[in-house]
Amino acid sequence: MFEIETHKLSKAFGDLVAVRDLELRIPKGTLFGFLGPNGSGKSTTIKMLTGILRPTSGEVFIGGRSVVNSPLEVKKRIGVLPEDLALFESLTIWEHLLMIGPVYELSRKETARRAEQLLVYLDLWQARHTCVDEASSGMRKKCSLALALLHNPEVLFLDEPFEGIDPVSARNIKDLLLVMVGKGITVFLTSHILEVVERLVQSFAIIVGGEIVCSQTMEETLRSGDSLEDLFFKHVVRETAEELEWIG
Amino acid sequence: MDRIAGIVRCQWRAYWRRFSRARDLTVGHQGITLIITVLIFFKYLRLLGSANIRIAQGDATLVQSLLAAIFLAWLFLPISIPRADVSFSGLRHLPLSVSDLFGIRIVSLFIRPYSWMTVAGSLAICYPLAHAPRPWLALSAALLFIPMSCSTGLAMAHLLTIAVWRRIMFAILVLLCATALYVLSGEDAGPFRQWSWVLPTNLVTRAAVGKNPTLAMGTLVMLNVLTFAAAWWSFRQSLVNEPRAGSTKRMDSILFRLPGAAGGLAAKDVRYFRRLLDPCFGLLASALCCFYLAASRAPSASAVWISIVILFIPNAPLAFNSFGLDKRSGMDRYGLLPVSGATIMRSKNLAFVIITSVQVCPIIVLAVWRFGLSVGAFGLVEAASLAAAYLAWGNWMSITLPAKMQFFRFAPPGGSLPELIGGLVFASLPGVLTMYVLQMRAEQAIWVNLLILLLCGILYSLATIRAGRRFEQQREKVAHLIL
Repeated sequence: MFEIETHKLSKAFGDLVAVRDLELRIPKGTLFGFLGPNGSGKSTTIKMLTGILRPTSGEVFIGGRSVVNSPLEVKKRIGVLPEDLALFESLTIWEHLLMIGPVYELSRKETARRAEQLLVYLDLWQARHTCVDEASSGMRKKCSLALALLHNPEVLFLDEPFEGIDPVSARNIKDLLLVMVGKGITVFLTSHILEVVERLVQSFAIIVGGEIVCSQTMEETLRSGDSLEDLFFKHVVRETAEELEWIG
Repeated sequence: MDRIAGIVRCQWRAYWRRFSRARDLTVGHQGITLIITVLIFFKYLRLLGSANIRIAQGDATLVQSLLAAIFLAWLFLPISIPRADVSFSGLRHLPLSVSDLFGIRIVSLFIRPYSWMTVAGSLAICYPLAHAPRPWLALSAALLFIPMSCSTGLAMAHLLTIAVWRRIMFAILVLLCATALYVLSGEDAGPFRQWSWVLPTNLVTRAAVGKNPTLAMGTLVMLNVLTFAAAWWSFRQSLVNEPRAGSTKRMDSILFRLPGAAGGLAAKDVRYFRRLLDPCFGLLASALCCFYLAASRAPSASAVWISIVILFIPNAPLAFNSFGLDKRSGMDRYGLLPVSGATIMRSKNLAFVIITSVQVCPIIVLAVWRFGLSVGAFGLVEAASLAAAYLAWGNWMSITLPAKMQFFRFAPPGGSLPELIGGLVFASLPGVLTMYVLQMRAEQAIWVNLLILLLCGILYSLATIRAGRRFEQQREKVAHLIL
């Protein structure tokens, strides 16, 4: 059985088909990279996998449970770092964690204990009483990541986790992800930093225009002699800078 | 100048694009607002006719009242308008000076039709003033009065974005209302009446018909300079009023210890609801009722019950539009949490109850002190019934007719006016019934009031379950409507 599984998953916004007939099978304890250019359907896919968006057609299963039919059961088992971070305006980082813990049935004491450890690890402890709207983008991202990790999820969805993060925290997050995968947690991440993805993930898929154009393991990629970047640009059209002749 | 004109043009386009997206006149009350505005305008024209005759005879009271209405219209104009479509925080990244930004601020005030109506209504006051004994002075005074009112409104709107000033302004409002109560009660109001000549409305009529018009004109010029400087200074302050780098622990953080899954979410909503201006009027009503109960020699118990009904009215947006202050990211977080829609609705409702309790409880305590336990208990039952009725209607309305609200602004009349008025009538009914039963059938009051409470409770439970289910199905639609 796969931890994350989709069948002909599609999402349309009016005439625009953002994701078309997506087929994913991700085994438990895998660090999976989901790549693609801007507007290719990565975030829409994550939203459908995490129950934020209802698919137009198709099915999604997380840990064998249908996201559409048992959304609450699924949400209890997953942690999500969404694209827009899903933080509440005017609340401090600490208040966010205190608020979210009981929602996942954690006691206040346990919430505070885990929150403190997470914030220290993510170098947010000193800034815990900072309002999220006053925090830097990196701090906001780390706060959202802490919320995703607080209840010890079985599956973790991370949308661009390294964007805007300082090198120390980025290294800490990478280490943490590897530890989590080692303990059997499945991680589904999207990132534009191909070098990082190449070093971290075990398998990946490239989505362009809402359709998967390539899906393989990192081992297969390395065996073919290509780098992830080469493979990516085989599928994604790139404009050249010479077009902008007026610059400089 | 071109740069400013370009930005104003963008704001103009952004506003009208959004306006035209509404498509029909029922959205955002446009149709009803138009009808009400036309009716008010006709009434205003008739009053101008009467004022014209009376001021020619030297009686300026009606003109004074009309000027007061104009002043209030200008006062609320900048506060009621949502923040600029092109925000000033965004514009600060451009090479524009503070003067440029202030110019944009003033011009952007006149993009909306409501502003044009206010300008037209204000200029129309020149008609009766032109027939005053001193027409030229009267007209000049009116033309000084209008920009002064506008500057005052701007200064108020800017200061409302600064925490310290919000508190100061609320304290001034309470003080003014207490003074007004004192003056209206007619007890030793002489000193206050003596100083009433400095009121801007009195200055205009004094220039038109009263003694020493030069002093009145001079004072008006001075007030203009002062209010314009205040508007400029407050605008600068609102721009430089950067958030503090490291917030200290907040006073209401203790609310995050509320038990259950809904507790923390409710604490968040309490913080949001406190930042809407409408509940301040509930707090004001509560403060005035407490003032009355504490100071009056022989207070009436009816005042307690009436005050409770009244103070729920300004709190209505919290119940009727409970998602109005949430942002897209917050709505997404609701989508990620493993809680049912009913739990989310209950967390919103708990926040409403906390906010209204802060307003009701002091009245109940003073009622117990002045009248005994029974009046306090009836007040409590009435408040509980009212809360349940407001929330029953509000939970339905929050899902079906949500509208965007902004911090430190009044709630816009989102949704539909018939539903809003229907909600206020329906939700106030338990309070009115409680008062009726207490006056007419005092011997059965306990049982009837408990029955009302029970009915409201059942209604609330059913409405919450239904609204919760609809929220789960329509969260995206709600999020789209409040953006």
